[in-house]
Amino acid sequence: MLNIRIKVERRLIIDRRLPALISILSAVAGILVGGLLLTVVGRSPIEAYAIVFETFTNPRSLMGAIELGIPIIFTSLALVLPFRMAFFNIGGEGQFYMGAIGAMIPIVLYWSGMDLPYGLYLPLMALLAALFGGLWALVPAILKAKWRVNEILTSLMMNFIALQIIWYLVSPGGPWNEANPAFRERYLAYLREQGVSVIPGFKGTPLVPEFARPPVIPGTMISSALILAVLASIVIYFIYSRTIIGYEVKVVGESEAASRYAGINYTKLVTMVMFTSGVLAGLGGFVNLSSDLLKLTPEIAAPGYGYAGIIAAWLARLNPIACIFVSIFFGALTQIGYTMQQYLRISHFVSVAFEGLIFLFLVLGDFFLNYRIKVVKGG
Amino acid sequence: MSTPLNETVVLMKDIVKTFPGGVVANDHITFDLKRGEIHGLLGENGAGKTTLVNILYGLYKPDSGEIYVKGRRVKLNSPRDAIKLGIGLVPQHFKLVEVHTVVENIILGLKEYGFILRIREAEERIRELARKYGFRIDPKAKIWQLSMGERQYVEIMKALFRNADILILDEPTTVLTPQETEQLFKVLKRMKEEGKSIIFITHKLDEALTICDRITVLRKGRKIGTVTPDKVTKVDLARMMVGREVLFRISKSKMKVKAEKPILIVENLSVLSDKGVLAVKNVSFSVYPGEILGIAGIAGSGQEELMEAIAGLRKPVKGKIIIKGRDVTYASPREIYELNVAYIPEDRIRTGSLPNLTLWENLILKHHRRKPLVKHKIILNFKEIFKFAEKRKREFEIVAPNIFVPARTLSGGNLQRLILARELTGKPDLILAVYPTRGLDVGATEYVRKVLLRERDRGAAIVLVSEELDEIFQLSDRIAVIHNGELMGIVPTSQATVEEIGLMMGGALRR
Repeated sequence: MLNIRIKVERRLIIDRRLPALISILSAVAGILVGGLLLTVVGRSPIEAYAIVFETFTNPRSLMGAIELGIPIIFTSLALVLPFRMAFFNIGGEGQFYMGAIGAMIPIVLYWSGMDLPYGLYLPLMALLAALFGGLWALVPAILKAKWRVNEILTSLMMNFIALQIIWYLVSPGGPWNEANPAFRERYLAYLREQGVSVIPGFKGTPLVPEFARPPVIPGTMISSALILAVLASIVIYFIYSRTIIGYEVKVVGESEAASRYAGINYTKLVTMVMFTSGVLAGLGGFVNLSSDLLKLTPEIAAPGYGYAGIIAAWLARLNPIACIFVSIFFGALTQIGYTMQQYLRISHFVSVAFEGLIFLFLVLGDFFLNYRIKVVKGG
Repeated sequence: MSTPLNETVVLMKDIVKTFPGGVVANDHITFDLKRGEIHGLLGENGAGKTTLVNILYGLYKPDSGEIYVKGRRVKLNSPRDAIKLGIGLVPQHFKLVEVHTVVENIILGLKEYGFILRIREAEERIRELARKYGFRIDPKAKIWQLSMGERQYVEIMKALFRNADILILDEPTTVLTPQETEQLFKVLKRMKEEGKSIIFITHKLDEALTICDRITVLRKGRKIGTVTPDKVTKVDLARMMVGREVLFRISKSKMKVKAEKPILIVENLSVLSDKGVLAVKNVSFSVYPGEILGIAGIAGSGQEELMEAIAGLRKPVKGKIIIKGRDVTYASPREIYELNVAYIPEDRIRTGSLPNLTLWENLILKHHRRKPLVKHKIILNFKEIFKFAEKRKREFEIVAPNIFVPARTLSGGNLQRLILARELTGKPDLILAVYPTRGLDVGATEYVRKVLLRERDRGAAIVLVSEELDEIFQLSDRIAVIHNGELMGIVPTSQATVEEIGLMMGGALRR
């Protein structure tokens, strides 16, 4: 008689290559099962697999995926240091909005008739975005350090405030709305060049002019913002693994009691870490505004880049370099969703469900990181 | 009682358990427990005591060997199986929900007390159990209001409530005051008379000799032997446990001539506890270079708060602290250790070390801002850091494969060596040691005491908090006694007697 039992065992030693391997296998499993979902709505899973395969192999689609992933690189990277010190910043979304607001200031000034040398716009936008995001992130940090207010609640609430600021600025009648008479002269002239003769006055600012959009990396379709993202992850990696700040972040994350005993100044550390975090998220807002959205509108909230960053940072196991790849994978999923909607004529909701299934599998995969299943003979 | 006394209730035969990485935790161990007996399981940290009882409780599966409970061969797949057989485990670290009451904790997870809790009924049964065994405890009290001793009773009652007649107590006295220990022993004796069988895990020789009917000694996963307390001495047991002779008396040189200037002066110091009540009341003393001032007192008399205040971790409400002539009453922990002060904290695991970080990360803590460990102000200089860590590891004989393993893999004694290695770097002028040997085995205790004496002879001023009078008498040059936050007096060790210090600890005598 066949006597086989399945046994679940805790892994005691975890191979360093295991996390990457498990993530890839989980994603593949998710895609296979997700394909079956399509049969329910009467589409061939084979076609869906073909689209997935195409996205990851065709250079054009792959570049699209990278482009879509860039803002998430920033928002996930922003969380590496705070999460490592057990400061649960979920305000990336709001810091991202504030970054976009900051980046918009020089543009608003431009349309009001104030001129700067063209070459100054991009650096100035980035600087203001970083500053706005950074300062916004300091609020929950200081509240926690001074009065032990729970950072999860404060950082989350700050997201809604930031979004309301955007609503105020860009709604019809608001100071930054495209129909503001202050912009009229210059903006109408610009629109006429594009073949538009009136300013519609929707909710939203005027457009970011071409000279204030980051150039594309030559020979590709990818925004040069990618270079900034990669540089940022190298910087975070360096701070985390090679400096006193990274060491102290590790100590605080491991034990607050020990960090106090070792004389680590929590207030100073959390202020530095959260400012850096806000700077990164703010830069994400700048990149999104200047190379994708092109005008500040409440639609900046639709993709939820700040929240996606939380999942991406977690899947990257708070490794700054892994954040790049996980974020691009996120971008690829979005890309797959678009393509499926277009070619398979499925609804937006089915494509989102497909993406959701893949995430579900990635989360489940975590189980196999800590446990293994063994088939044993006998009772 | 239907079954006679002396019947074997547990027999574990030839138990072998190997952990991944090849550590043999149990190497063909045979162990038996009789009805109505307290059987001590004695051994150093890492001897395999906890592994053996975890196998009996169904938490681990042995690689080979047989287990018989009440005459029947059993297979234990989970603690549920063990509980069904009447086995109860009182863990070393209590697993109680602090905001819940005693009853709620006890009936947690019991189906028969149901979805709609039958609290009143449970309370009645708890009261009955408490009367029977002599626990003094209010079933309606919340866990956080209870002392460590009382919490232990709750854990024991949890097992009794589930009708356990075989009880495993894992190092039950580590968190107890001497008085609480005495109380616990009374309860255990009562339980024994009622026909319960008890496995008592300990590494304290005196305790094993006082309370146990038989003692089984384990060393490095092997059983060394089973003895009865009337046939052996403390020295025999120590030899079985450690595998060599152990010094119970450490020779202490005479103190050199007292320096004129004290290193530490504490003046009329008052400090609050976490709960906001006065824990230290108007305490004054000085400590000179080259002496050990022992602070004797029942645990929780304010000595922890006093030491935290000196280390800068707790702000005093009144009084003054002066170290090397500088007023540091309100200084930060960093300002204080930069005056070359070492602090060996009570809580080795959460405060004294970083369990999931590597040895080198643990060893550079507090030194991590100093040159040459750091270059260009903020960049870690790994070459120097590894050299520094290797040197400390070698000097303090920390047993570990390398400096890249996490600190949680160290045994209790090795962890304390690691803390000493870090704290004694840079030849501190003042050493604050809080229960430095608590929970350590004989070998490690001996080591820590020797190191403290060596530092004293080098010229450091040392404040030693301990609840073991043995230790206080052996190491201190002067003994300060604290009772309920007040200093009852300071006595030179040469003129002190145990009786007198005991009376002062109880608050009955002032000097």
